[in-house]
Amino acid sequence: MDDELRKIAEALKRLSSRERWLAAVTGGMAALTTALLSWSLALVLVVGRAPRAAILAAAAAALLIGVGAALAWTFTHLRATRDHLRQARAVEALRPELRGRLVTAAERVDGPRGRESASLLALAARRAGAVLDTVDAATVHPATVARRATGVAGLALSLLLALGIALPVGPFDALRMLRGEARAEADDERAEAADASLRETVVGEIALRYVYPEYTRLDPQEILNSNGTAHGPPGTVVTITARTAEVFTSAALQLNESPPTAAELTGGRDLKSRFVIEAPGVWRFILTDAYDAQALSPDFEIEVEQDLPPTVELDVPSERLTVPWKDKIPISWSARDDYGVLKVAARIDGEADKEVTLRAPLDPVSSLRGSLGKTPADLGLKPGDQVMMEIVAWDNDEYSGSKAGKSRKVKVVVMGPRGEARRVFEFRRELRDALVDVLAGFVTDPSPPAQEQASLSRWGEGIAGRFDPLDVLVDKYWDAMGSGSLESLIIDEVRRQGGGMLRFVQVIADPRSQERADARDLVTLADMRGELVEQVETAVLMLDKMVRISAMRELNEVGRQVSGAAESVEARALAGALGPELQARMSVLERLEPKLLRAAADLTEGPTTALVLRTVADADLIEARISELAADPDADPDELLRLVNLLADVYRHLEAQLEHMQQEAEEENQEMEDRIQELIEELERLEAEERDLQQRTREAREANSGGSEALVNAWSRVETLSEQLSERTAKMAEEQKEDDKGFFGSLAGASADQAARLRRAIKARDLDDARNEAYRARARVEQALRNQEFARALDPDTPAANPTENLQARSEVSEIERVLENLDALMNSATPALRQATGQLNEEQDALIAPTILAQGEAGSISRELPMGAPGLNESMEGAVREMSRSQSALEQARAVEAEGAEGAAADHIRQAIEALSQAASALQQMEAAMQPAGEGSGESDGGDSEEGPNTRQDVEIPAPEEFRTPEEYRRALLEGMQADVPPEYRALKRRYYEELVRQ
Amino acid sequence: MMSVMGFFAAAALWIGSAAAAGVADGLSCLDAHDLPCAQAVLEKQQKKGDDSPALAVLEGRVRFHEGDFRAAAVAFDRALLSNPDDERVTRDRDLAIATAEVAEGLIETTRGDITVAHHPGVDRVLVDGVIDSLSAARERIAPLLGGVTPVPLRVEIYPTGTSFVVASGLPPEAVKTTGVIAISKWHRLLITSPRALGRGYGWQDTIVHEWIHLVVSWHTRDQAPVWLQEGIAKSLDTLWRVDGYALPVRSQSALAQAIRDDDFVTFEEMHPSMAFLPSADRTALAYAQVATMMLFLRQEKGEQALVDVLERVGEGEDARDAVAQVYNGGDFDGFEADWRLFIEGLDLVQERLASLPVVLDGEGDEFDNDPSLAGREDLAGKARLGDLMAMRGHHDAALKYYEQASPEGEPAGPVLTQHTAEALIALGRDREAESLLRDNLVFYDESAANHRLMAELLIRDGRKLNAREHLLHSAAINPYDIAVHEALVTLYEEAEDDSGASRHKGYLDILNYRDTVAF
Repeated sequence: MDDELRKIAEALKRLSSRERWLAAVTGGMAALTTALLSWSLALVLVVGRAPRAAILAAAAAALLIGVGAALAWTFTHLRATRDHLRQARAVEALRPELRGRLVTAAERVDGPRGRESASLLALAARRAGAVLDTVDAATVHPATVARRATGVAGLALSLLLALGIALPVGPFDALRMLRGEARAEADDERAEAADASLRETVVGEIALRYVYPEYTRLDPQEILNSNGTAHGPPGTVVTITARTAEVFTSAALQLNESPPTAAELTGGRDLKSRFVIEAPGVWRFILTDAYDAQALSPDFEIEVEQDLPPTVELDVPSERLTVPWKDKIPISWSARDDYGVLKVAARIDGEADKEVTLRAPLDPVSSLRGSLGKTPADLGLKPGDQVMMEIVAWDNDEYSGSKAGKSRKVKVVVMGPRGEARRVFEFRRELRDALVDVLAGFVTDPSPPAQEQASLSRWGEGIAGRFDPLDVLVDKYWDAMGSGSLESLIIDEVRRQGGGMLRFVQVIADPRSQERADARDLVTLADMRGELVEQVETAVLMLDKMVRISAMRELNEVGRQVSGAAESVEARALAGALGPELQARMSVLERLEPKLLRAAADLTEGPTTALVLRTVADADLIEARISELAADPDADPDELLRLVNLLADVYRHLEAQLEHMQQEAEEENQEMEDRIQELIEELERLEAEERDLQQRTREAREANSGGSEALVNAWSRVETLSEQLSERTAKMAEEQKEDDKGFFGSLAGASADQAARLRRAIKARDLDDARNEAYRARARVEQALRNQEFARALDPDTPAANPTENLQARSEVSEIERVLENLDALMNSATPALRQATGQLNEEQDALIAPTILAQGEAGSISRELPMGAPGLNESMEGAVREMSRSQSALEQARAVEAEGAEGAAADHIRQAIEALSQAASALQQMEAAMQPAGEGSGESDGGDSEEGPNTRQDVEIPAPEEFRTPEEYRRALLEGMQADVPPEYRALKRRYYEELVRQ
Repeated sequence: MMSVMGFFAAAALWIGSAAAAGVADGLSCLDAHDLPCAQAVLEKQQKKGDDSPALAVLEGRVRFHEGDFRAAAVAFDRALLSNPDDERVTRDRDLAIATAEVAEGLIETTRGDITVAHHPGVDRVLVDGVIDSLSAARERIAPLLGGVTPVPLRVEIYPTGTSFVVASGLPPEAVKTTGVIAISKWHRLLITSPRALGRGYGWQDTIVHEWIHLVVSWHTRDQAPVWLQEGIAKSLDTLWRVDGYALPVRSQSALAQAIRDDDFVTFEEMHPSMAFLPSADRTALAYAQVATMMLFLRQEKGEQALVDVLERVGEGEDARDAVAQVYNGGDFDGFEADWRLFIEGLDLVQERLASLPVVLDGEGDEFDNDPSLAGREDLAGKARLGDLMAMRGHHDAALKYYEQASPEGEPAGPVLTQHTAEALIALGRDREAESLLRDNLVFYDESAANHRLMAELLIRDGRKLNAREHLLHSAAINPYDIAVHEALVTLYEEAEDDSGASRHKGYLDILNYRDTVAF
């Protein structure tokens, strides 16, 4: 065969193969489409609850018809593709330029027929072949139909899948159902699970409704579209609603492997049932269909939310509480539970029979808090007891029983009155010593501490730690330090001043700067340090005095005991007791002697300490000698007796001396109080007389006024101005203080103070003083303006007083100065009658000066003798004498207005002195009260209810609600309490307090 | 006095005028400070069988002078049976009973004609000193006064200030104000034990001082006014141990100030007793005045001068006249003027020195013992702060406070000095401490503690001889300090002085209750 023909034959063969393949694909896709559509139909019918047979028939029919048609078309088409001429003709149809050559060649692929020319055939073949080479098979037989068939099949598949998703039954489920294999398969699966023999069925649209146990006081809750997991505390009733995928005729609910209980089934698919959560596990439905086939829903979890016991927390100042017997134990507790706290009690040493109920609310609440509010005595404890205390709370779990939760344990040491007094004493002594340590540093620091800012800053850092021991003491002796007590005031004040100084150093000293600090700042720092030192010194001396007086009392008490013990030895010796017995009795003395020495040591040096040391040393020597003689059978019994007498005598003597000293000390205190009272009375008399003199000076001036009206008006004008200035600067200082509690705040107060001084001088009609004070006031106002600028330079955000106010203040000072100048000119004119009147008044003033000077001396003496001094007393008395002298001078010159002012100022100074004295007397009484031994005069054996203790550190408590007979009573009490008036500074506290109560 | 006379008048009517005259003689003897005379009258009347209340009064007083207080109380009780309203006798009875009570615990030690009543405890350490000083005084001072008294000496050492006040019959306030701690009365010498003062005091000089009063009373028939008594006693009371009188520094200070202020204590103020002067400083000035007067007189007129004065006073001459007679033939103003010139010519210490306060029985605080701090609360407060600093180991800070506690214009007191020195020693500044102590001892020589501290410094520095002097001085003021006696024993032994060592060992035995002799 010619090559060209062969090539044409092969090319046609390829075309034939392509057509055949396309036909097969198209047919296959058509069959597939038919099958898928049939399946979809069956699915729809299954879902549509059509009878299985009908479904099968319909599906089978559709399948057979469709598939048969597809196959028939395919076979027909395949047969036709085998004809080469068909291919050639298809090509010829596409390429008319062949003009039949290809068909000709295709018909003669085996060679020319008959006599046909071979060469012509070859030529035709060649030309046909050339064209055929350029023809693409895809052009001859495009795949369009096959693709469409495939697309249709895809659509059919999509339809099936969509139905599977949309319908509750999936395509395969439908097939299984149609095949009748479902039950068998389920049986197999249950068999494999070994505990079930049912197939699983779909249960959806699960909704759970919870009804919680009543004690939880939780509202019922419904969860839609639940995943089926049920959770809640034991006792929770769970109501389930669900929907099955299939239709069933009956349903039951099974919890774990327990016997199923009937469930409600509506419409063959809607399920409803309920169970009670008791333990963790699973729940499921068992469903029976129309064929009596049973199916199981999936297992759903049951999770139990445990009702935990309450948690109890404590707020205590220390894990080891040392508490006076009659003081409330400072424990605050809070108890919290998931659902409710039923009761709270204090438990001692973990023993249930040592419980004291603290709270038992009428209605259990999820949280409770409160203070213990009990004294050791209330808890059945006695002085010396050391116990572990815990707070126990019980929940309100009615379903499984109340459970108890416990706090951590706290050690409680109970002190008796003596122990308490001892503890207070030790606190004061340690506080004194701590303050001495603080003081030592400041006293020995160089002055100024440094010149360079960096060094000064380092010094500032160093002094911060000096106050730390005070904090340690506060932690250690929290119980011995009531709020508002002398000790707490001392600590607060020292810390406040120390803190102020520290902040000042931080402001003036840059830690990176080697430059010298401003000299004025160093002067201010020195002043601040001086004030701090003075403050600490006063505190130390006051505490020292208290410590020593307490030590004296203790010494006196122990002295009595020792003397009694010695007399007991003496009595036995006189009764003929033998050596060994005397030795045994002396051991009591030996035990007491260290106490005596300790008390003497607390007095720290001094004649009394020396006396006790000498006495005990003597007694030791005598006791040693007695012991020697007692152990010696040959000893002279008379000598032994004499020594015992001597020993008793030594202690009798000591007791008498201590008693005497105690008495003297008390008399001295009483004497001091009497002196203060007498001085107050004398000063009140002097004040009254001075004011009377002032009144008569005014009357004399008014009666003989001759032209002094202008003077009065000028004074009045300048007084008004000074009041304005004083108020303005005070307001500015207050604002500045609020913004800046540190250094600038304090400086801002300086101009206000100065303005106040000016006001006083003007009020006193003291022209010279007023002019001096006005000059200083102007300097202060100028300085305040500079400070504002400086503060802004340091920190642009620093709030500062309005400069306008300062400028206004400056203007007022200038005006005051001007009026004072005018006053000076007006001051030197008086009528003869006025001169005569003032002359008489001068004599009266003279008569008042002498007793005032005497009173001044007495005031100075009292001030020196009081351990805490009498701040302001001496200055006031000096002022009084000075003003009286000024009055005298003014009266001599008939300057009645000035005299009147001086007399008023003198009376004011006397009033200030009286107030200073009253405060000193009050401080003295407070100090004495603080030194009273605990329990003194309080009737310790009474049990405490009637005790009117000065225990200011205990909070006032309203009884708990359950202590009222009805909640209504409680609410009424609350309302009444809330309406009660309290000082403004306590209003916020009151509101918070009642809010807490209401929350309980 | 009037009631006593009334009593005797009634007694005379009752028992007869002869017997009454006898009792009156006896009482007169006592008034004239002549106990042997009164004893003789009493014995004579008793032999006569007189059992009158008046004689009971005489007996009570004689027994009281003799120191037999119980017997005195019994006698007074007997006298009061017939006249229970007699206030004077009642007072005498009460005093006898009170004295008996406070003296009950005392024991007596007698050597020769000297009896010492003392507490049986460590006060036994005083007995040697009492005997020694009185013996020396009899030998060295009595000739300056005209001889010893023919009466046995009775010294009563009261262990506390309280018991002394009771036994002396002085008002407690007066004792507190003037610091009287010893008295010569009723033929007895009553002193407060140095132990009652804590810091001790020059008790041997004090005993001699009181003994001089007794001798002067004897020689003047108790007619010497108080200024003369005190002047003589003060100017002689140290001569038992030293040859010449040295005006104490505090007296110099008081005189210097008085000269500056022209403010002297008048003779009228000194009457009836120095104990009633308003302040201790005023008392010190009065002592200084009269002491220097007697010193001046003796210096100008020789050792017979005082004998002559006493004789004249004993004969009833006014004391000032007697002094004037002896000095210049009768011009007391001239004497006074010369005396003024004399004291103005003395090289007196100008510093203001306060008297050492008398703080008895452990009362007060330590600073009450310090003349520069007592009654000055401001300074005492600073000193206390210093003590607290030292107690906490802040000796530098303590020194700052001690400095602040030092008074302006006068030397620091001995207690303040002691504490300052201790702080310096704690800081290792021994030299400064020594210098401070040395300077201060010039002003306050009666500080046993500072002598002891000084001795410790000297011993540490190897200057043991000087140290011994300071220790002896300390022991003389405060004989109860065991450490001082121990140190002295050591120093004496090192110096191979067995006698000295033995003496102080003896004191140690007493102080350690190992000496049973007194029992």
